[in-house]
Amino acid sequence: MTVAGSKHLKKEGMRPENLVQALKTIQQVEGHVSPESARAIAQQLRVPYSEVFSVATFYHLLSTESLGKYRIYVCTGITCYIKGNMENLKYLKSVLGIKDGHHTSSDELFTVEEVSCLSCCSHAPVVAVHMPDGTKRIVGRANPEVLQKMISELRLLAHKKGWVK
Amino acid sequence: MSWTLMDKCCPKCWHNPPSNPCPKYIECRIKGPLCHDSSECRKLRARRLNELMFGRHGIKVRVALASCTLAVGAADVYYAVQEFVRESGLAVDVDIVGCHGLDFIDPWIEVVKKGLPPAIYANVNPEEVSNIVSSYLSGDVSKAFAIKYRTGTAKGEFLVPTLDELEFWRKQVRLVGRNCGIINPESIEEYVARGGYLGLVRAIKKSPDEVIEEIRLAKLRGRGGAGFPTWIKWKAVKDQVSDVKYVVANAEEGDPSAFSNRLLIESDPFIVIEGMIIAGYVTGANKGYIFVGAEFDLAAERLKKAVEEARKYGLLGDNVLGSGFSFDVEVFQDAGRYTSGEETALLEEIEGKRSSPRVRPPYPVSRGLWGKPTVVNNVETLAHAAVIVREGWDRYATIGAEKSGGTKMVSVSGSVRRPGVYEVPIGTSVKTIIDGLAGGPPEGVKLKAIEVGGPAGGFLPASEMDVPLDYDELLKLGVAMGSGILIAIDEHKCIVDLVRQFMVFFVSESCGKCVPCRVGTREMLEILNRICCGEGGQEDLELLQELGETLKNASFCALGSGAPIPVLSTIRYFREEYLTHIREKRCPADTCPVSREVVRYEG
Repeated sequence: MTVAGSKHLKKEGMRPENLVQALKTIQQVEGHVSPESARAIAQQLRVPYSEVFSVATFYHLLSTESLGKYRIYVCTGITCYIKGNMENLKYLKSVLGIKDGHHTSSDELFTVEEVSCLSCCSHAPVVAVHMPDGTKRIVGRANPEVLQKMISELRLLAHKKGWVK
Repeated sequence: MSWTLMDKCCPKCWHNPPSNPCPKYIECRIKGPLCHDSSECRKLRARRLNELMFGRHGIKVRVALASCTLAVGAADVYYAVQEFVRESGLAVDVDIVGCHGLDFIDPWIEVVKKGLPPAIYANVNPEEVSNIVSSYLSGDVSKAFAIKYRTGTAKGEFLVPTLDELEFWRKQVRLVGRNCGIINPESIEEYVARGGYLGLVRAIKKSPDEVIEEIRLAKLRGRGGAGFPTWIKWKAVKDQVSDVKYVVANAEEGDPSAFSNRLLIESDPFIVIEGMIIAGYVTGANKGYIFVGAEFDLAAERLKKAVEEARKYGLLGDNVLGSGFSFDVEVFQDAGRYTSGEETALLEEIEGKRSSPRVRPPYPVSRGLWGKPTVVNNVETLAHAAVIVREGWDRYATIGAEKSGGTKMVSVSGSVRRPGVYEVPIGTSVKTIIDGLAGGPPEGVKLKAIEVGGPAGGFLPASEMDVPLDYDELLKLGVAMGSGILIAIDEHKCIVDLVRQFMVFFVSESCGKCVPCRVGTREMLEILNRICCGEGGQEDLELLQELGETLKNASFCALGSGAPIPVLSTIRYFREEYLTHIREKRCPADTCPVSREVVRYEG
């Protein structure tokens, strides 16, 4: 676990009941919950490692694998589904070169996943981007043209910030 | 920070929350001062109330900032308004508001100037902002989408409808949503100015039993989906002997295509907190949690601000308004799982565990959070409770259906002209909502079905649209009201494909605790995949029904027993579509693999 991670963790509290919050914090600070971090949480909160792992793999917003800088969530709830978000999903994966069965681009800049609802169904189809700073952007009425523009903007920002490997 | 209504008006003002709690504090803010007599102070308070409406200089631009408007560019509109004000040098206040629920006008702004009709502008581009505001200020409202009322002073105001003249506004009854799109969701002052927290003031003047009686007479039933009478829950927790009790507000809203809770919280977080404090007072709980959905960052942020403000002014904390009752609220955000919306599963998550449901009984009312008696209510239910206590049960009970009083916020999406959130009396027909409020399908499109209640709700054929939106009436047709979701499905969509997509959702969201749900949903998906690929047989329909009944009867929680409802309701109403896939190896909507060259689904 990083120094920043453990500092944040201390703020969350150290009791077993803080487990979900602790995992969310580490996910936010470190980008994912690594086995080392999971072990550190287990020790500090006095929870079995198996339980930490079980909780970490249960929730959709927690990940035990490292993810891209930008996490793009494509809504596949029924409203977005009937408005054509499966095509957007396919488009994103192909334009970012993400193969079937995978979620993250080879430059580790983008992760594309499905989500069950982003609660903006009036503007379906909807796509959300979780930014590296923890903020979220919601993009309504998405189509390949809109998404192409969004990807370009995100790439530009990544270049400015020096996130590109 | 400039002076607000919440502050002391002069040194003589007795109120200094939270140090000297007083039941008259809230009324003193808006009708007062009541704690001392001063015509100066009265004028000051009246002037401030006026300022909230029209700004400090008589002109105000309100920009709607909520997830829905932000999704279509409201942030840029907000920057454009600020830019305009800076460049023009005009004395204009810029403020934010939540959303009315009329999502088809997003992004929208409202411009007000003393003496002119307040005007709402729809689908605003950042580039148009300066034109819109300039022409409004010059006294021309002809480009507005709607105005709030007429003053007879503006050009073009008789060409523009008032909100009340618009069918989709007039047919609503806005009780819990009365502040949505009207107040700044980050300003407790604006909430109080609109009569906020007067429900709490009334509640603490009564005994808990009297409040429970009001809720009972108002016929309030849970708005989360199950429709359980709220007063029974509250009484059960009140009657429990325990020194620690909890109130949990469920704002997980995990059902795909539900967005009314999100809109309510983002537009008026205060009403939820007020409802929670009342629930706490009635049941004897001292701590509340608001459990917010994983994607609801803005909602969580606004709730946290509203909680802080409430603490600052002694509405939360020790000795709330001098009642002797203490209450505090914490906001907890979900880590992302559909099961987290189940009332016992969310308690598990707050306790730091996986959100799998618990065995019931014992129900949360006797053993809930940390094993203590707990009220778990949907956020909208709590907001309704606040309205009932503030305005009295008698009027509330006359709105709505025979066994269920009041209104419901419904989320309408899909093939309609005016998607959005509408608040209607319970018992309003689905047809009125879809055609009257949401404007029906776009030109040249016919509706085939209405998906009611979300994934565990069910599909209603368009021919059954006269059914009233009411817990009991919908159940008779084999669908559930759920959290008030209506998705309009047009004739170009394949019902079997949509049901299959629902099942994909259930397979991925089943928590795995019980076999019927974990294995049953997977088996049902297999069969649906088979049918969509043209490999299904007649016996598959019976198999689906048999499996569906098993899931309904044997699943551990409502999510498992709700999973087969879309399948069962469509086999009941759209059997022909299944049969076309099976017998003719053809998809009538041409979307399933059976009609195309695509071979199979992944996984």
